[in-house]
Amino acid sequence: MITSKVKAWILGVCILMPTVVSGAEVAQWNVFETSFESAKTYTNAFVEIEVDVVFKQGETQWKVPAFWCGGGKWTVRFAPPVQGEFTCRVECSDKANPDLNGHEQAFRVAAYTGDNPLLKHGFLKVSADKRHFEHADGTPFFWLGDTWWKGLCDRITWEGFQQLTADRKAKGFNVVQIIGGGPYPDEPLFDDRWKNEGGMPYAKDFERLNPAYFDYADRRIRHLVDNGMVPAMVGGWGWNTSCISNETIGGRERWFFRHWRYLIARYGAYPVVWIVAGEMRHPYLNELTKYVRDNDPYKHLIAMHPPGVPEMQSGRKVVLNEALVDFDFLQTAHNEWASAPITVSQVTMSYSKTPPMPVVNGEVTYEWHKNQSRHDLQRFMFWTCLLNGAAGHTYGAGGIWQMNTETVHGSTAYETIPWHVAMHYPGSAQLGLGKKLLEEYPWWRFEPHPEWVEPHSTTLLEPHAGWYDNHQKWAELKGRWDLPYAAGIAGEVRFIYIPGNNDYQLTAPSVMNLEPGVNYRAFLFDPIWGKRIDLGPVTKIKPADEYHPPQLPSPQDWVLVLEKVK
Amino acid sequence: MITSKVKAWILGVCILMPTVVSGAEVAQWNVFETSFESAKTYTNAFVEIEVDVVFKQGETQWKVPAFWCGGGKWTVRFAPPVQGEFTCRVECSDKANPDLNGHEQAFRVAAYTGDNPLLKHGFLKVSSDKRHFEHADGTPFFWLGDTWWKGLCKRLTWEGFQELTADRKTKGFSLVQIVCGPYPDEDLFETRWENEGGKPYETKDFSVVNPEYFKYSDRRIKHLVDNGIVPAIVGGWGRGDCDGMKAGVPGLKRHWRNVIARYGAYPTVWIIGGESQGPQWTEVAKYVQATDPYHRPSTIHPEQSGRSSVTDESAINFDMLQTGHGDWDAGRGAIPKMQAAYGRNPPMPVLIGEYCYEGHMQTAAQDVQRYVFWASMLSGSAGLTYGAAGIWHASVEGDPGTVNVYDLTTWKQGMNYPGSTQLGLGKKLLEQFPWARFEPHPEWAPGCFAAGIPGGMRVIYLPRRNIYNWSGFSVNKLQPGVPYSAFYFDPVTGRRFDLGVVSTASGSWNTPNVPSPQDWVLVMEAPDLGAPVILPGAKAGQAYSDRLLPEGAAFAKVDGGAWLTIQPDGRVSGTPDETDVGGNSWIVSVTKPGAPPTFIPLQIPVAGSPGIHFAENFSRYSGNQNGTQYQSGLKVAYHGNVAGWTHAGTGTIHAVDRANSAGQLNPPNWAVMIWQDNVITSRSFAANAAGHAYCVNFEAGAAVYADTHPDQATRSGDALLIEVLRGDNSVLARHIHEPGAWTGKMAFVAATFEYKGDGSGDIRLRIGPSGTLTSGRFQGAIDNVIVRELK
Repeated sequence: MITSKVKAWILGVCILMPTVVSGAEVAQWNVFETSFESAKTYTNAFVEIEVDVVFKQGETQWKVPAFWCGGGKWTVRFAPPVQGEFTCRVECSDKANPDLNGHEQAFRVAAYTGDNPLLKHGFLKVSADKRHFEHADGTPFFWLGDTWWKGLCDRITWEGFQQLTADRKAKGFNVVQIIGGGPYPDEPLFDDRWKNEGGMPYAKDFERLNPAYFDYADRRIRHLVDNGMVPAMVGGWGWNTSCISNETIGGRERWFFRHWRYLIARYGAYPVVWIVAGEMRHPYLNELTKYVRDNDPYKHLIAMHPPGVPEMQSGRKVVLNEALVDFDFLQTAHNEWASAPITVSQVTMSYSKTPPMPVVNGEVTYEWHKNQSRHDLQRFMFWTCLLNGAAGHTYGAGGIWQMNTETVHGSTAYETIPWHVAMHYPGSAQLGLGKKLLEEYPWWRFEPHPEWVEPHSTTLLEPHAGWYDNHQKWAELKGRWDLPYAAGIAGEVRFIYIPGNNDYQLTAPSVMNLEPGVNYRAFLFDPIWGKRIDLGPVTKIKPADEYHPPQLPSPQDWVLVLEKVK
Repeated sequence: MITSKVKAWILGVCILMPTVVSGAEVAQWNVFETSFESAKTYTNAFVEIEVDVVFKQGETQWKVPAFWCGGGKWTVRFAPPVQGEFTCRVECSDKANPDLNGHEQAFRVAAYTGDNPLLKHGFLKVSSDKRHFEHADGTPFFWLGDTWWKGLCKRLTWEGFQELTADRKTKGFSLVQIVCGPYPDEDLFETRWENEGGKPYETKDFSVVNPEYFKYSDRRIKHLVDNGIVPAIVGGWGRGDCDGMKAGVPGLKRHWRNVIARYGAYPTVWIIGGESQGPQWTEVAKYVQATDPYHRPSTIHPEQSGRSSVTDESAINFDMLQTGHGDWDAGRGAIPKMQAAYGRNPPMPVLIGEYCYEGHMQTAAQDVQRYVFWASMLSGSAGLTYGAAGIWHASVEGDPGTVNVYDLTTWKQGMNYPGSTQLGLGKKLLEQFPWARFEPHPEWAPGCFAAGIPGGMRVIYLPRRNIYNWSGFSVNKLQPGVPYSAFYFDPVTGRRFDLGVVSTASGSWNTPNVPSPQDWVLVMEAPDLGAPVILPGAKAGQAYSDRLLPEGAAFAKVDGGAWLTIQPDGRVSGTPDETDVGGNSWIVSVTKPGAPPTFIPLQIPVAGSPGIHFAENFSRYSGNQNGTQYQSGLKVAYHGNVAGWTHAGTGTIHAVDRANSAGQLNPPNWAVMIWQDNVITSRSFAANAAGHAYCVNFEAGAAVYADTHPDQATRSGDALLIEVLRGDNSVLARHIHEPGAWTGKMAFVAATFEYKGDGSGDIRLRIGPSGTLTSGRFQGAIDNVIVRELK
C-alpha cells in the first residue's frame, strides 16, 4: 500500500491515497513527501526494521532514510537537488515485507520560483577557500545564528514560536540552533520540561519513540525554513556524557544512532546544519559523527558543539578525526569581559589552523545570561569574531536559549527573564545591523589584517598544524584584546572595529599602509544605532601612507569603514 | 487695574478682568493666580521694580513675589497651605505706582478633593528625623527622580515632553530634575538653550528677561505637577565651562526671584545650582531661602557633596551627592560616598542626585542601576535620582544637545532603557512597607545591604556575585523564635519567590539558594508586636527586679540585652552596668495556656551611676569576622558597627576580640580598631557643666591585621585622635594618643586626659585617626572609654 502527499502535508492528518501517483510535480529544494503503510505488524517497528527510499535521476541516486510515523506507517521526505524526472523505490531491512519493498514511483522536479533564499539557492556547503559557507549554487551565506536550544518544547507556545521567528527574521538572523528531540542541557533526563504538545520524544528506555512529539516539532522546523532560517539541529546534550552513550542503558541498542537516523529522515530534506551533540566529549563521538555523515544523503554541514571548558573550546578538537566535521564550532565561555581574550585567542587560533576550515563561535556570553554580558559585549564578540575571519556568528540571549516563561525556567534558573522580554534585548538588533552593513560588501573575501591599524589587538594568526594552549600563549604575549581589529580586501575595502572605552578616550587609531594608487573614502558606522558619519576622502600621510581619522564622536565602540572610490 | 484668574490660567492667553474678584474659591495646595496691570511704564520693569503680594489668614502671612509678564502686567501665584478665608494685597518697591500697591482681594480656600498626591498631601519638607522627605501632612515622600536637565528646551517637543512624563509616571518616578537657567555642556546663549518662546534672557547679566520663554516652560512645569511629579528646578549650571555665575550674584538672584515667583506655588524642590560651589552660590542659596515664602527643601547639585559645596550648611536642607560616571567601579564607588554623607552630623537627608547614568558613554547598564538604587536605599538614602543617556540632554536624531558628544542615544531610545522600569519596581516594593522608618543595619547580612526596623521587618539586597553562584547567604540577629514571612524579590522582573515562614532558635538563618545567579532582594516581615510594655527604671550597678503579667503565662526572652534574666513565670531580674545606660529593649515571647506564643516588646530605662557620664566597652560591636591574625590567633572582624555610635569614613569599622575567644559567634570583648579615615562618634551625653572638670579614661593599643595584609598593622608614629565635641560640632577638647607599633601581641595601656566644661550643652566623643587618612594602616585600637566628673 502506498500513500503520497506532495507539498500537501498537513500536521496530524493522514491522507491515505491508495494508488501510485505518477507525474506529480515538486519544485527543486522543496520537500517531496510520500508514505508507505505496512500491513505486517512489529512489536516495535522503530527498532526492529529500517526503511529507506532510493531516489534516482539517471545514474545518480540518493538513498534517503524513511521515518516511522506510528502504527504501520513510514514516511520519506526528499528535497531534490536537481531538476528533471525522478523515480523512487522503497527498501526495507525486512525483505519479507511486501508493503515496504519495491513500489516504484515517478515524479518531475521543476525550478523553484519563490523567493525563499534557502530554496532558491539550495542547501549549505563549505566554500572552495574553506573560509565561509555558501549555498549549493555558490551564493555566499552569512551565518547569523540565534540560540534556541529548547525551542521545541511547549514552554514556548506555537504562537510564541512564530512571534520569535518573525522578530529574528526582521532583525536579520538566518540560523537557529535548536535541539532536535534529544536530551536537554541543565535538566535531568525525562524531566517533564522536555515535552512538547505531543508529549515526550521518547519513553524512559529510549526504546520507544513518540511520533506525536516529532509531528509537532515538524511544524516548527518547517516554519523556520519557510522564514528563511536554517535550523542548526543538535542531536542532544551531553555534558552528562552518560545520557547519550550506551553506558546508562545497559549496552542495549545504541539509541543515539537510531535517534540521528530519525532526525536525518525527518529533517534532512530541509536546509539544515547538523550539530552532532552539545557539550560532549567522548571517544564514541567519532563513530557517531561518521554515522551521521554516512546516513545523510545530502551531506549537510556537520559540526560538534564543544564543552567550552578552557582546554576544549573547539568542536574540531572534540572529534578524534577532524575530517568528520565541516567547520570548527566554538564555545568560548560565559565569563563577561573575561571571555574577550579567550574568544580572540581561540577564534584566531582556530582560523590559522591548517588545513583551513570555516570557524563559527557558536556560544559565548549570551546577552544578560546570569544577568551579565550586555549589548556592548555582544557587539564586541560579533565584530571581533567576524574581523578575525569567522564565517559568521551565533548570538544568544538569557531567557531565550532555555525558553523561560513567566513562571517556569527551562533550567537551573540562570536567569528568570521570560523569552519574550529577552527577545527585545538590544544586542540582537545591533548584530543584525552589523550583518546588514557587511552584506553591502563582498564580506566572504575579507581576511583579517590586524596590521592595517595601529594600535591593534593581539591575534594568534600564525599558521599551525597542531593545537596548542592558546591561553598560555596569550599570557606569554601579554595579549591585548581591547585595541582595534581590522579586516577587508586589500585595495578595495577595510573594516576596522574600535572597541569602546570608559575613559572618554576619543582619539581614533591610525590606519596603516594604505595601498599606493588607491583612493579611499571613509565613514564611521555606529554599531549601536546603525548611524553613519561620513568622513570624506581619506588623506594619506607620508611616508608610511597612513590615515589619521578625526576624533571619534563619542567614547563608545565604532566601526571605521574605508572603501575605494570607484 | 487688577485682573484675576482662579484655576483658569490658559497659556499665552491673557484674560483681563477689570473688577476685584471677591469670594472666589480655590482648593488647598492648588494655584491661586491673579494679575495686576501697571499703567505707569518703566524702561525695564523687570529690574526697576519688585512686586510682592502679601497673603494673609488671621495673623499668618505669606509674602509672595510676583513676576513680570511683559508690558505692564504682573502676576502672582499662590498655593494656600491651609484652608479658610484669605486676603491678599499687592506691594511694589515703587510706592508711587497706584496700580501695584494696595488693592485688597479676598478668597476662600476649600479642601482639595482630587487624587493628585502632591496636592492632597501638600508641599515637601524634611522629616523630623532628618533622614527623608515628607509632605506637609506628614505622609512620607519617596524621592525617585529622573534627570531631564535640558527638558525645558525645544529639542524635546511638547508632545515628547508629555510622552516622557507619561512613561515616567507609569514607571513610578516621583520627581524630575530640570534646569531653568544656564545649561551644562554648552556655552551660555547658544541657540540650543531656546524653547518655543526663545531664550530665557537676552543679556549676560540676566537683566533683560523674555517672558515668552517662561510661559512655555510654565506649561511643562505645570504638566509635571498635574501628573504627580515634583519638579526639582535647578537655577543653572555652575561648572567652569558653562558657568552660570557669569551672570553675577545680582543676576542670579534676579533669576531666582523670577523662578520663585513663577514656580513657587507648585510643589517643587530648589536646586540652587548644578555642579556649583563656593561663597557666591551660598549667597544665592540664602537669598532663595529668604525669598521663598514656603521654605521648601533646597540644596546644591554638587561636583561631589552639596553639603560640602556651601560655605554655610544652613543655606541648604539636604545633601545631594554626585558620585561619578563610568561603569561598575563608579556604581560600587557611589555607595561609600553616600554612607559617609549619611554619617555626617547633624543629620540631613542624603541622596545621590547624579551617578553613572544608564548607557551614558555606553556604560552602566541596568545591573549597575539596580545596585546603586538598592545599595543606597538600604544605606539610609532619602531617595535616588536616576538618569539615562539621551534624556538628560534631550538628545534627538541629528542633535545630541551637547558640545562634546557623550553618545548618540536619543531621549526616546533612552526612555526605554530597562533600568528605569526596574527602579520603579524597587520603589513600588518598598512603598508597600514603612520604608521611611528603615534604618541601615549592615550587620544583619554581611556582604549585603540591609535595612529595616529593629525588632520588625528587614529588607536585604544581595549584590550580584561571581558567575554560577546560586548559594544563599546568612542573615544574622533575627529575633529568635519570631516567625518572619520571607520572600525573594527579583529586582529585574519584580517577581516574588515565596520562602514561607522562617523562625530560628539561634537568630541566624542561612537563606535557601537564590533562584538564579544575579542580584536579589530578600524581604522578611516580622509580625506586628504592638505597643511596648515599659517597666520602672533601673540604675547602673544596682540589682533590679520586677514582674511581667499576666500570671499563668510562660515567658521567655527572645532578644535583648544580656543583663536581664526573664524567668518562665514572668519574674525579671539583673544588674545593668554603665554600658547599659539609656533605653533598653527586649522581645519577650508570652505563651498563655492553650494558645500559640505571642511576642511583646519590653522596655526598661537604665540610669547611670553618679559621677560617670559615659561608658563604652564596645561589647555592642557586631560585624563580619573575616579571620584570625595568624601570629596571635586573635579574631578580627570588619564591616560592623557599634550600637549607639555613628560611623563616617570610606571604609568599614574593624574590631579585634580581646578575649581571643575564637569559635564564638559573637565574642563579647571587642576593641574597636581605627582604620584609615574611619571616625566613630558617640551619642550625646551631659558632661559639660560650665567650669566643671571631667576626665576621659580609655585603654588603647596597637592594632592587629588580618592574615593577608601585614602592612596594615599599626606602626610607630600612627596615632588616635579623641575629641570632645560640642553640639555644633566644634571641638571642646582633643587628645592625641600614640599606641606604638604592633609587636605580634595584644597589649592595651590605660590612658587618660581631662577637659573643662563650658556649659554649652551636651557633648559627644569623636574617635578617629590623627595621621594621614590614606595610610593604609590601622591607627590603633581603643576600648573601655569612661567619662567621669572630677570632684
